[in-house]
Amino acid sequence: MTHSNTPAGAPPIRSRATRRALDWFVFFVADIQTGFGPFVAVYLTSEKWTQTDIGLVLTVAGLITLMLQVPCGALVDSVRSLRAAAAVAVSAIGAAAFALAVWPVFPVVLASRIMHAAGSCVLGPAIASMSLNFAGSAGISTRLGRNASFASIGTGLAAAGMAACGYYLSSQAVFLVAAALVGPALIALGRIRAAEVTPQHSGAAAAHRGPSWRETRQGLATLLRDRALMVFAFCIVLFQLANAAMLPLAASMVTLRSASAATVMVGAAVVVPQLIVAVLSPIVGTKAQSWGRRPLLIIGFAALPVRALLFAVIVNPNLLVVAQMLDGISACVLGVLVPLTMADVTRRTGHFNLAQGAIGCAVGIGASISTTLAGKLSDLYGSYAAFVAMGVVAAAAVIVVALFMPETRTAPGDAPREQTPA
Amino acid sequence: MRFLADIRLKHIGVALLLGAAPVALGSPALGAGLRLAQAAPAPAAVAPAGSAAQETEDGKAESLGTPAVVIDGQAAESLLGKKVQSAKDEDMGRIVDVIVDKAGQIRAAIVDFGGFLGVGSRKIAVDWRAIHMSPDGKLDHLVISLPQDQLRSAPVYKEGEPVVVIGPPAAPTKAPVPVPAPVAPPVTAPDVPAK
Repeated sequence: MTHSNTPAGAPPIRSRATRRALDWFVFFVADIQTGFGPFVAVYLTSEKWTQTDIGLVLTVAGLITLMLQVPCGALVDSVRSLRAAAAVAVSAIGAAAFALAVWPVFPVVLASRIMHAAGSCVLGPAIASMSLNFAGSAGISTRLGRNASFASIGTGLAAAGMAACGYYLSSQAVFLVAAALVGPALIALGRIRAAEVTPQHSGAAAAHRGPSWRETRQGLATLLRDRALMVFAFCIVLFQLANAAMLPLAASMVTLRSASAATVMVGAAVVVPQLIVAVLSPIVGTKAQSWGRRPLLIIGFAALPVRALLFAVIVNPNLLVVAQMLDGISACVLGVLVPLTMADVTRRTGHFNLAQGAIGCAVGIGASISTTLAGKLSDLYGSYAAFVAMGVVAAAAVIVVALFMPETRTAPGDAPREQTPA
Repeated sequence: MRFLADIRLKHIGVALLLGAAPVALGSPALGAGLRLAQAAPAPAAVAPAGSAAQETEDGKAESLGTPAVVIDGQAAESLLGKKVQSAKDEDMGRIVDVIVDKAGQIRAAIVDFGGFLGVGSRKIAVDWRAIHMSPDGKLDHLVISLPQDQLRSAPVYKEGEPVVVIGPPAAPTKAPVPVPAPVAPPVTAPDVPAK
């Protein structure tokens, strides 16, 4: 079954069972990961941590995540079994959640954050890789749409559940639930048939066993020479530079201006875009195949400057939440097209996961600069100036995408080429 | 000797032992006696420990034993992470820090206000005198005698920058009134309410 890839690039055997299992795995992983967002700071506060310690542990964890992206991508490229890698990663994340819940002291929390960072850096590429191997190059677009949809259903439900959990039980319960969800995630993973998610050809990814430094370096050199990838990475950095700080800043504005029910409004600003992503992602996945990648990329990128502009001019907190819905549009396009573009550009070169790690690193860099920069701008010149500045950066990203980003979709008749990867 | 005092202290109440032991063994040299006593979830009443009857605020041992006070676990609790509510029982967030001036006076508590799962919350400095104990005598939350609107529209607290403390107790107006001198010159942050 493993080598049954047909010459026409037609999909290999794809069982319904594996498809469902992959859906559920993505769903549960998103559930587990939601707790590890900004909520960690809330939890540590309730555990009587000082702001200094919280800031330190989060900064260190952020830096480590950045550094681990590329090596973890290389690791996933070289593993024998993607399922095993995913199982180890999700277990590590579960253990991290459990440790965070039961023993919130500095060294344990730091170790837990590092373990979570490593797990996430493996899990992301591993899921995308399993999806690519399962769906094949022709079906990957639709599959990634499905992934994004299930992930945001997971995130949306988890956020709502966490809010209830934190309110009625304790902040600690959130992480215990996250740790417990590793169980169903592993069950779903176990139902994915290994043969269906193993590389179909003995190409770049399957050829070498064990990560090697030289291989990684050569891979990076190959990727760095890829013009489409470099343009894309640059656009993603610009996008994140404008995007990452936008929700926190807008949410802070909602808190500031909303006379009552501010928490509900901020909650809506977080959850509603997830619903939009859940609904639109499958469509994006399908359209990315029929229209091509470029039009969708332009739409997704263009939603960002519009959102920035709306945030800058809108005063009414309720309308701010409405403007935040545009986040859903950007998020579903990016959620599908980032891994999809990576799959496109690495089809011939291999190193799909290394490329994902590299783009993950670009996302991280853009995002961390974003929060710092927007915070400073907002402090010095007010939120209006911060939103306008983010809007300008976002508009620059749109222009770069429109002018320089090539179409990466391979023509339908082009499919057999994946058989002979360099 | 100090260690001995710690041991003797533990004998005061067996219930004390469970909660206090790690603290006592962890930092006897720092004279953790007082801190230990505050943290102890013991039903013991105030009692002197060790041979020295004198209590020192900073917990430094000056004579043979470590002076210590045992406070009932339900009578005193850590401030950090404590929930705060308005007089109308609305949730106002949690205390994340406390601001002390050079004279050692507590000037303000930093409250992490609003937000959803850590997104969109604002850290605000609230005058310490505007924060009260819960009227029902419980320690699970504190009460801020200021309307919620006044908190949400306050400028955000940033470490290392002038602190704008809102709500001195006697303020008759509803507008946020910055605290005078020692702490900082009142500064209006840029993103003050654009109502």
